[in-house]
Amino acid sequence: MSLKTIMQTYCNSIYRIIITSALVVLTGSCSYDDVEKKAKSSTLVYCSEGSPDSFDPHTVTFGTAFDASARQIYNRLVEFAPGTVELTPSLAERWTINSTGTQYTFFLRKDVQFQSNELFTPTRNLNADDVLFSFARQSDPEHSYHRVGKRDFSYFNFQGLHSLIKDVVKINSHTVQFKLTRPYSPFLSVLAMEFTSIMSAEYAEFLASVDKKTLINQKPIGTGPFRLVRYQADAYIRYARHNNYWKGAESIENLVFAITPDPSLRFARVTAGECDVMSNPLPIHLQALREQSHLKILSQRGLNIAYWSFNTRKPPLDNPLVRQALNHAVNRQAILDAVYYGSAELAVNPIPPDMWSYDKSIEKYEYNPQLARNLLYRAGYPQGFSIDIWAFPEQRSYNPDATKTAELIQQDLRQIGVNAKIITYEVGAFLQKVKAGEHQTAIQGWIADNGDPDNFFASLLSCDATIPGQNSAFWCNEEFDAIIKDAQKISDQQHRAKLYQRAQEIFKEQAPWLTIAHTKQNLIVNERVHNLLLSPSGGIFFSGVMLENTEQVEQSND
Amino acid sequence: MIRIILRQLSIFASSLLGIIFIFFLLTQLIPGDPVVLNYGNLTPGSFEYERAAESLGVNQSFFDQFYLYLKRVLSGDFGYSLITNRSVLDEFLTFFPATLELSIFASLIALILGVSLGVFAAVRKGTWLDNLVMSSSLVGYSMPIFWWGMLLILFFSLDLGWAPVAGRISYVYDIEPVTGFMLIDSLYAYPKYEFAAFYNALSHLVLPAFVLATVPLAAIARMTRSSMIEVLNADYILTAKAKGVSDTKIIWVHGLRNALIPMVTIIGLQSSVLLTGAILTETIFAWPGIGKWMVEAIFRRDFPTIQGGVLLIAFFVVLINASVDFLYAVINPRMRRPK
Repeated sequence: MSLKTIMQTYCNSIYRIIITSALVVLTGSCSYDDVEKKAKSSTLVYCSEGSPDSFDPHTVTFGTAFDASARQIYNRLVEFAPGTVELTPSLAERWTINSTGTQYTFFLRKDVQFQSNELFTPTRNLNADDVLFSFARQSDPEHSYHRVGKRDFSYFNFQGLHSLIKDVVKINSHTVQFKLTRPYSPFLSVLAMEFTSIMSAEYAEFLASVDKKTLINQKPIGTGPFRLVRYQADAYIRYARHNNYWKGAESIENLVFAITPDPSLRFARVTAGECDVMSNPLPIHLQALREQSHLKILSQRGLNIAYWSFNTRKPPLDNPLVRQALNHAVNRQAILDAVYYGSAELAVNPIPPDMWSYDKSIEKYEYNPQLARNLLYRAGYPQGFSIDIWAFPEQRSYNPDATKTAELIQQDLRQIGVNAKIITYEVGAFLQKVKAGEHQTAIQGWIADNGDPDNFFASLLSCDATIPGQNSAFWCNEEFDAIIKDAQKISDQQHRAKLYQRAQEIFKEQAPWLTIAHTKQNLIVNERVHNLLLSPSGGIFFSGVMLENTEQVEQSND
Repeated sequence: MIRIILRQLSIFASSLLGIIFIFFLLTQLIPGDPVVLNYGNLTPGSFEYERAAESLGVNQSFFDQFYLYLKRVLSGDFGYSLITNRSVLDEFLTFFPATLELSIFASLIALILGVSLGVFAAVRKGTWLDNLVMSSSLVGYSMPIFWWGMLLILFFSLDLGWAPVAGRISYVYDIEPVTGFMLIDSLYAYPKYEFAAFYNALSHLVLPAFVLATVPLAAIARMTRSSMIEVLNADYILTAKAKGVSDTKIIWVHGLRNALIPMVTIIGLQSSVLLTGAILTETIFAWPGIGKWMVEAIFRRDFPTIQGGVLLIAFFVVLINASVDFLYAVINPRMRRPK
């Protein structure tokens, strides 16, 4: 046998092995198409952006973790209607508020069942004890579940519920009363936030009895539409529908979060049909999407704002004319095009247009450098002046590139003779220094915690907020502040809306900020997914979502 | 034989000790409070803080601290993750099978293809086929694999739709982790999905294994070729030819077997290349193995996980190299004789 023939037979055998194994795999996978199709028809795969640090909605702080826990597994007493910030009854079927606005009485549904897992099967439905447990755990440092997980109850503290809630009282097995220290009308909106999710007191007791309290973070039991099946960090989270869900079982049987931090890979996966929904697409993906006919973009104006705040304690920014001049000097449309790539809209008021009490009649500051120069002349700065612009150093959904925004503002300001210098620090130092008021102007942003306008006005613009420095304009207007305080005491929404509209007028006149943009949030969704709605507060809820071929396949198999 | 085993074991033990010592030195060099670095944000003065400080021995001498560290590591305590609060060893064992599965497949591809191409090129030395194999292996050897991986995803997954984009198995299959090896676990799910899950897992393995195999494959092909050429020119091959031994036997028995002896060491060294490559490959293909685990830990500044994870990976590489050295001694008759 010659060398040549040996090599040929050798190569042939290798080829044969490769080709046969390829054939086996191909034919094998083809013959199992039906199995895959059937599994696929009942499973929704969501390509999410990261791993949750815990499934405990009381302690987590990031949207990713709320998506994985509170929004699928748990319910609240009241909730926002899907895709809106309107309050609807949830675990509480109705509620009453006393005339002074300090007592909220909730009447719980009686048909709410908790989920079960391999350790625990509930013996009773939801009752007042579960509500008491979920709040006592967060408020009482002596509570046996307060120290579990060694974490802070950040949202509970940040919303000031320690000082606001005087007591939570069980009236009877299905009635709970919250006693407040002062009237606070946004209270219902606060109760719709994810950190007030209701946990099972019975499950907590059970875990304590087997000395596995920390499992409350890892193996959650809630009342929500999906129960957790398995979680592998950095890989996936698998849920199954909760068959005894009080609103009726979901049509999706399995829900999987495929954890894919790299946005390009997420996009590749949704394009190839490995995921049905992709979170946080980049602008470039939205442009590339027009070629993909089986995908659609789900867009929702978010409850957020990016703004440029003027430290009103530092001259010349203490002069409203100067602040108005700066408002007229900046070409915001150019920022929307260059920084937000069109996925944002120009902000006129300090609250986004989807929030109730938004005043449509207020007109935006037009881009007009000539007018800006006149205003500066009237204010006594015909030669202009020098200021600094502090730019937030990290990317945020509402502020994709604060440095670039600052550079564009810097160029515009040069035209009216204002010389700006851009300053940036590492996040921790930045926030600390801005809170201490070291800046003259700063580019920042805010996402709503709940659907109440108070969350913007009081948190960002009230006199009280100047003390921790959350109000980075350090703007304290007496009339504005009185209105905000009044609005907290009234529970009638229309009356409150009027007050907030007046507040927006004062804001426009006084111009403590240049309002820049309200960013849209986007999802890329496979066309087989129906009824998915983005929540304006940024979360994703899979309750009520349907897959196109679910019914067809089930019928054909029957 | 016993002598070889003992020698290898002593080398193995001293390498381990060396690694642990270097790691200890490195952890001493990290700026910041060692208690906070190892146990997260504890308040100084609190009970937990004092207990943690005591277990680390922060107030004791350098050698006492090293002794405590050594004791902890040898008893399997590699610390606890700051993020998940789970033991680093547990986490390592959760993620390791995925990496092992990928690496075993990649090694198989690299070995079979690499040795074949090497022999092929050696036999055809100087022809255009030899040049083709050599130049393409040079390209493969110097290719940045993250770029190569993305290119393959773009072509095979997105354009042609032949292979899945990422992950170990399609998420529509609910596979319970029993062994951690997806190919085996998917067979456990046979009653539910028959072979569908197995084939799906296999199809997910092809692209990442090939990407991970690229660099070792090229290295093995080049080494096999030069080693083979050397052997084929040796006197004993000439003798065999003169005796009329068939070409097949010359190449496969006398040639390859002798050519492979120096290759064993090379292949052993490729194991660390594989593990380094796994970090990139796993990140590109969202493959939940130790590479991706390490990258995520770095992003989250999870110091105990980084320290423990790197130490465990180092242990593993030492273990592989020790076994390869042992294998080398076993298959090479010249090593068996005492000097």
